[in-house]
Amino acid sequence: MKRCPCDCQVTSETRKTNEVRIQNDMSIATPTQPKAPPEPEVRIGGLLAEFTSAADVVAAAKQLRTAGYRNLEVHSPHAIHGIDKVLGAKRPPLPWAAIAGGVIGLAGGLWMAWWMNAVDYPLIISGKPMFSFLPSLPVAFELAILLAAFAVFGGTIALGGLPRPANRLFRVPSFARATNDRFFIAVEQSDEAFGSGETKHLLYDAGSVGVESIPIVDQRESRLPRPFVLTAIVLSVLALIPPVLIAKARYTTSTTPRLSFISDMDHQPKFKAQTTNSLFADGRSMRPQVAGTIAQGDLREDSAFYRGIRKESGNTENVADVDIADGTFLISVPSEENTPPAASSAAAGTPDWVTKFPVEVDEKLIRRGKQRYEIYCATCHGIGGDGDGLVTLRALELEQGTWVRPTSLHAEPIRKQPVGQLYNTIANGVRKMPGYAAQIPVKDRWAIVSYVKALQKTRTATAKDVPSDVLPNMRKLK
Amino acid sequence: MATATVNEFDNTLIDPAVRPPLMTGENSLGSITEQVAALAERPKPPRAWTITFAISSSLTVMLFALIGYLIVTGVGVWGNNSPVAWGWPIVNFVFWVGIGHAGTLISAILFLFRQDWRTSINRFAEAMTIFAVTCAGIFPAIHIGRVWFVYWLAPLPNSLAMWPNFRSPLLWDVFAVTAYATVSAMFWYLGMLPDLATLRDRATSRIRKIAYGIASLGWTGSSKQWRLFEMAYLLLAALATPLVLSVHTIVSFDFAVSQVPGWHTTIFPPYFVAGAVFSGFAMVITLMVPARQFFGLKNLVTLRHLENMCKIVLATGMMVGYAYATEFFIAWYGGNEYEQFAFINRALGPYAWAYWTMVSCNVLAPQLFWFKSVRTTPWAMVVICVLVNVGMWFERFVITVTSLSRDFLPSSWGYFTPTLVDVLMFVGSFGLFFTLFLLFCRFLPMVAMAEVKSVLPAKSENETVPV
Repeated sequence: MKRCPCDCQVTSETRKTNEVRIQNDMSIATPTQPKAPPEPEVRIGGLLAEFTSAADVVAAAKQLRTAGYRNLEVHSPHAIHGIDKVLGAKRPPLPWAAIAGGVIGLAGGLWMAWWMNAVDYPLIISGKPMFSFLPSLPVAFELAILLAAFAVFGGTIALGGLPRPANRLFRVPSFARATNDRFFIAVEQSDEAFGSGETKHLLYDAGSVGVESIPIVDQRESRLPRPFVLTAIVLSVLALIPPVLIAKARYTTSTTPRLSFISDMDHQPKFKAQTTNSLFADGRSMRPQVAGTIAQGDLREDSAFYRGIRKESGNTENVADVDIADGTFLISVPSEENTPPAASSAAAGTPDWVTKFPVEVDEKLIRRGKQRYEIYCATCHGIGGDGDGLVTLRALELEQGTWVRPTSLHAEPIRKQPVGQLYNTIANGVRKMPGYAAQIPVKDRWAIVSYVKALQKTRTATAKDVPSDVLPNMRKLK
Repeated sequence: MATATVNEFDNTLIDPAVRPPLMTGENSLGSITEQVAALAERPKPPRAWTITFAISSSLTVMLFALIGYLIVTGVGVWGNNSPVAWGWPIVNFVFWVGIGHAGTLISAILFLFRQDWRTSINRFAEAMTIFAVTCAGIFPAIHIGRVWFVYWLAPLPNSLAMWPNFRSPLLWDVFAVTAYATVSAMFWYLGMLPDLATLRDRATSRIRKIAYGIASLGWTGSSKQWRLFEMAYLLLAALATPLVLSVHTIVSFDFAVSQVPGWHTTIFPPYFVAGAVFSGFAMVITLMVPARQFFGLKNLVTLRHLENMCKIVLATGMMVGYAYATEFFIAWYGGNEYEQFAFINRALGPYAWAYWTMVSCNVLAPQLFWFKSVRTTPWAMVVICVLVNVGMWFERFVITVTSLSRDFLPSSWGYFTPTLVDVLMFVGSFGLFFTLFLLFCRFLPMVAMAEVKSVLPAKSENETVPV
């Protein structure tokens, strides 16, 4: 037992009262002891008792609890195991916060993966399902941990009453050692069992090495200093400016060009097509081809191959020059009406169409032609060439007035067309049909012509046309 | 106090009859505060600190200048080019993230296993973790090319109405590293609150009072706060444990989910995690040995602490060596000729020098830790641990560069050469790491005082200090 250093006397009577209280407390949970003799008028917030070891502070706390004190707090430089039981404290609900955070994180992660990649902006990755569980798991797992940790951290701060920069206890000088090497019990004045003199004695009896009063702090004194408040107000007003400016820019119109902080590759130091350039006399950025030159691959001397017209005949004025690539656009529009049959008679004004293929025709070419035909031609002309492709059927069904139904490739005039003319039709188009020069290379156009010829033959051929050695086995052919 | 010490600072003696003390010498609550807090309260830092800080902060300035140069010029300043599009930046990223694993491992896993010896080194290791993750985070961020679009990595609504691809390991990586950095920082800060309050209560100047006062959030060490603190610490440890294992797993997915031979292997996740712990502990030892020397912490960070860490380095080093062997075995056993080629090329191809540097540093060097004399000689540990980190950097280099330089298409094979910017940026990242670390040593409590106090030997019989 320490001797009370204050000028009062710890009388045997006081001590006795304490002992009685302790005994009472053992049988009755809430003592209704009469207050100790009236104290002199001391305005204090409570008492702070200092102890030298964790064992002492635990023992003292036990004693005070037994004496009926309920509004106690122990302050120590490290965690003291077992103090919670003495103080009758409940387990904080942090695990529930962690579970809640974890569940929200997990569900949120899965939801993001599903909604963002499968619903709002469906993203096809290697033909895999839009949403599946396993690849969504890493993000969901990390978010579960992150949110659970936030919940635990935030819960600790909030339930611990932090941040709390101002605290009455800090006004007691000896309390600085609470984070160093001393242990403290703070008894609040609001405690039912509190009586300043009596409590002080009890604390000394319990082994305290020093008991001090916790001052009552004037409300005004514990307020934030004025400069802090002013700075906070000014900063929060300033912080509002950027979002307000952004909001204004978003929801109003302006005639000035948008602000571009990082222009990426929007502005490049180069000349684009159709712009001027003062470097050249003609002021054009685009340069014409140098006279007397020809671009690589543009020398197309073989008229039969490239245009389907015999070279000797100068009669080419009705045929569009094929290439867009050489910079020459349509010279003349192809004739609206079908060319009369018997191209060999070469009526005036009709080009001298090639009648023999300028390429070697073999099975490989025809098969290539079939494949190309089915890609480019069959959509309108139909697989069989009857002018009943899906696009045609759909257009007729919609009763599109502008649609011109393609002539059946098996019609008499078409069948009699020379191959050069068929080639020209593919390259430059006819009537409503556009030219396919841009899509189909020259060799493939001839392949398609060869296939169209084969297709036409299927409707007119007889057994006589079949070579005699193939005929007996023909039914087995595929 | 029954102790099993050889001499003043050596508590490595093994005597089954006595429990060796966690700390040596006579320590009390007050002496620990005095010893640790005094380090952060010196009016002038030691000369060694000033010199090191001058060097490391200059290197940091160089790093940021180079980053500025990179942003203005473009990623062409690096040696990254077809076919090796992932060069040093990714190697450095994996290297630093790996180092950042020891801290949380010591804090969380050793805590869950009730390894009380961790209290002397956990603060230090956690700080190292956070600084290493900081260095790691820089590299992928500047590697994306147009850094001003870094926010595209996050699932934010944008004017393109597009979302990131949740099936990409690169996105997983963003989430994993961000979550890891955040949780590690919270764990570190929460653990430091009581010690910041100690510094606040000891502060003599007004500036320090205000700064530590704000940082400590008004901690008073009340039993209510300790109750929350202890539970929060346990929960965070339980959360950080799977997290720390997941982070390097996901980093390894960056490689393993692709189809490049030498990357596409299922052993990568455990192999990467073991390698990360390996390099992290090696880095802790490398920093801890000089720090305990210069700051006079030999009684708190005892030889036994160092010896324990050496044992972990030895164990994880052998796991890494086992993984190297398994890779070759599976390449042979799997019968995939591309994988076989990748591994033969690794060991015997143009990067054989890197491969064998890696093997000697990571597999052979730690074997010296079988000898107790090596495990208890600080300078020998530092040498081996520096070699380990050299080896671990080369491991990431070998994985990243050899696999890419010779992939499926022999016509595009090439040999990777770093540029000066590559080298200086890596050096600069060390500068940043050491700058942050030195600032930590100067202004923050280097040892978790409150935790060390709680494992001090009980003074009397009835004291309820935990065992």
